[in-house]
Amino acid sequence: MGLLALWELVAKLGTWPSYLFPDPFSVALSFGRMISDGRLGNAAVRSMLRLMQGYLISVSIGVPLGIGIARSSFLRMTLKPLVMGLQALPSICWLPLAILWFGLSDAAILFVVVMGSLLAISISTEDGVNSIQPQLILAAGTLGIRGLRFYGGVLVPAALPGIVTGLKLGWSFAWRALMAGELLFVSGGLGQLLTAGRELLDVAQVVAVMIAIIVLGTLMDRLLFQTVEMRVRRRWGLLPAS
Amino acid sequence: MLLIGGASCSRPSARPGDPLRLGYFPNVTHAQALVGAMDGTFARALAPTPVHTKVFNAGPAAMEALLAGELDVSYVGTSPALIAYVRSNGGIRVVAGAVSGGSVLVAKGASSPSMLRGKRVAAPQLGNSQDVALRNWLRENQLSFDRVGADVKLFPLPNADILGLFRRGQLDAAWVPEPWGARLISEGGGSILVDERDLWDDRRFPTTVLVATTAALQNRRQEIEAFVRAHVELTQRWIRGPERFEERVNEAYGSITAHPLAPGILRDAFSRLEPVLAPFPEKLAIIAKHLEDLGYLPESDTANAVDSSLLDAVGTSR
Amino acid sequence: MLGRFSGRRLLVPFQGRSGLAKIAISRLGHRYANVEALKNVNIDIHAGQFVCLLGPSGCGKSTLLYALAGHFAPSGGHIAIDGRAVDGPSPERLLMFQEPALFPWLTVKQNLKFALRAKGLSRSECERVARQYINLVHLEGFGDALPHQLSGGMRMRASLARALAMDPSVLLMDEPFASLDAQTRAHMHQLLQSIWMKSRKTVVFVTHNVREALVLGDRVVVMANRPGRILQDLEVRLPRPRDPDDEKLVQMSRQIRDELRRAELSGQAAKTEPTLGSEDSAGEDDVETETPAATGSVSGGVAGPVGARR
Repeated sequence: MGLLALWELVAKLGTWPSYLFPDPFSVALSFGRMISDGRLGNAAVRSMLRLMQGYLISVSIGVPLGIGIARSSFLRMTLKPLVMGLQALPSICWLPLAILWFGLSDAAILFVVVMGSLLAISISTEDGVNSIQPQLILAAGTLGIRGLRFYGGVLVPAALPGIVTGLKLGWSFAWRALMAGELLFVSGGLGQLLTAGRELLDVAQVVAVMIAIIVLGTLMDRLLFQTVEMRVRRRWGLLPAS
Repeated sequence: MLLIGGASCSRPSARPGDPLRLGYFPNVTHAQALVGAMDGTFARALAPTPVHTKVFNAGPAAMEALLAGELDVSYVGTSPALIAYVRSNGGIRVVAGAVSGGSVLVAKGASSPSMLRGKRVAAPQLGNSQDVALRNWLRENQLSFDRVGADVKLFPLPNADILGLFRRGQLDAAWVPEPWGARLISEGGGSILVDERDLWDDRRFPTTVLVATTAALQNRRQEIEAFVRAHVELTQRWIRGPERFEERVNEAYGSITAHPLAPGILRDAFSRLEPVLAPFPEKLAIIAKHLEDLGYLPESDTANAVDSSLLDAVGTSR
Repeated sequence: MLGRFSGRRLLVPFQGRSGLAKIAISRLGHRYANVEALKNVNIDIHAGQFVCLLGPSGCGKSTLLYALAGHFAPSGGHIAIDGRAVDGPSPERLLMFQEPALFPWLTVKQNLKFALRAKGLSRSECERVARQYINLVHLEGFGDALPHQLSGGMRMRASLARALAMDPSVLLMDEPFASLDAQTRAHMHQLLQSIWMKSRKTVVFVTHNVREALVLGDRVVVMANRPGRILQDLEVRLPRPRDPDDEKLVQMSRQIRDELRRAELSGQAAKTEPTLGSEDSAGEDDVETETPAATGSVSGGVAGPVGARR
């Protein structure tokens, strides 16, 4: 509440002209308008769909990759340096290449999203597997648990706390990569709504979309990951005794 | 900290003697700007005040700079000018017309509006004149463009990228200013689907206008007037000797983009546009209505967007 | 020195037994990083025997156990179980570690059922067997608890239940009770004894605690280090169930410790402090025979181990 009042005050003071610094009321108005004519809803849905697609691809490549690197010295020697090197590249730097390869399509943005989050997921998964208590692996061996049952029933669950951390990180990276991609490469979604606001000199819209992005990002983080992470840690007995 | 940020955010309005900052685009629809910047007409008219120029791809970016206090005058398309006028609550004014025409929809393999169904169409930037013309035209031809699964997919892209993608077959059509129209035809293998002149009475409509910030008009009126005078002189030179002027335009164009136009393309581009000095306020009003219909602007009164006082002062208006 | 039933007659060199050995270890040796963890170890273990491998750290007892389990291939020698060479880990020679190694995301019952499923039992059988063994280790009522909700001793019991439920041909145990407190450990000894007396499994149990070895084992194989080798192979002739405070047992443990000290002293030229577990030290029946900082290698010349096969 206090923040809103301060905001209104600063806007009214007129230090900045209204087309550079919008007051809360115009922002709320813009927000309301975009919701009622469906623009915000559509854009949010488009962005979320892309995010989920890209994220699912990242997870389905990243988790097995991380497991593979942790378990196979051959993969560790060949792929790990590549993963570590590429990870240093901010995800948005993939965009020019993506547009060259995939042209003006959703695939270009998906590529950016995937490259942004895949590596983080892989690295965290690898860490998760490496931090498994060696006894658990030995126990699985001596109990005769092998093959798919081992990977699915022992390795992945044992590494799950690390994997979940990676999933959370990967989601966050994917979200950022998506927004950056949508800003630079116009193709519907929240990023475009943001750019449109700028190009039409509608700064209230710009701020309204920024708020929408923040809210959406926080909601996803809280709903999805906070709860999942808590659950996993509780079951695995990693939470401090209450 | 907020105050310091605030102070640096709003630039002090330029005072007489400070450089005059001019914006324009590397299009032949900004012919007067291209020539005037190159051959020193502006510099001479403003002396001893220096003239600093800045080149933009399209209107919205230029208007952003104008409103942020980084420009004093700019050549710009009509739609961005109107949007800037409304958003800034009268912070800029249209002081003269510059060019009419020079805006075309070029397509490959489509000779009627319905053939654009399912195709990919580009325009230079969201909210610029061609973008507005395109969307308006699509609406009038019952083609949807704004949702998932629409009839036409729209892509705001820089002009150079439009040409590149058009040539590679990744775009099917584009609404662009000259000389990009001529280049799309000659280098991209497209043909004109719509010449915007056909959509207006007496085939005349404001494509490019000259705008100035209200602050500049208040604080350095003499210099702005001198600039308008130079603009009028250039326009009259163009009217009197079009071929010579076109060659000068190409020289300037070549020096900015490093690719002067081939004579054939140059002539083709210029065949569709003409110099004007009148700002056509009644036609600006129509464009404003289009902007409202497209949702780019709220309902607003643009009656006072034009300030012809400077033109009158300089003594020539049509 | 006590009367007729002195420790001497109840703790005798193992004479060997006729018939096919269940576990046959011959000329086993293992070397890694210039350390001779095991040298020329030869033992035959028969079905139903409870064998304890006793010795200080570095004597190779765990190495021997892990080789038996198939967790690595020894650099020399041969191991056969039931006539077949050991070629990798298997639930037929199930190994229990110092840590319970329960899967933390599964409840006790799920831990058992998961292992049983891997063995190929049907779902209903898994349920029945799991329940049976949970009761056997006195964990009824805790089947649906997660490992982190249990105490250390209960977790060990659950691990034991899991191992027993798998019905291995040979049960290998690597100091499983070392991390438990004395009280809990005593309970576990009782539990293990009672279970073993009913099932008579072949067990190889590694420990550095003399008393534990004597409470549990039919046979105590005493080992020494540098290089890892067998010092003595002794048979324990005490009736079961055994009481750790039994005087005879106490005397036997003293006897073994004396032997070890003798072996140690004769095997080392200069010695700083023999730290044979005295009654005062924390691990009162432990057989750590050297300080970790002691240097110099010990050459073979030990007073001949009585009864051990070379």
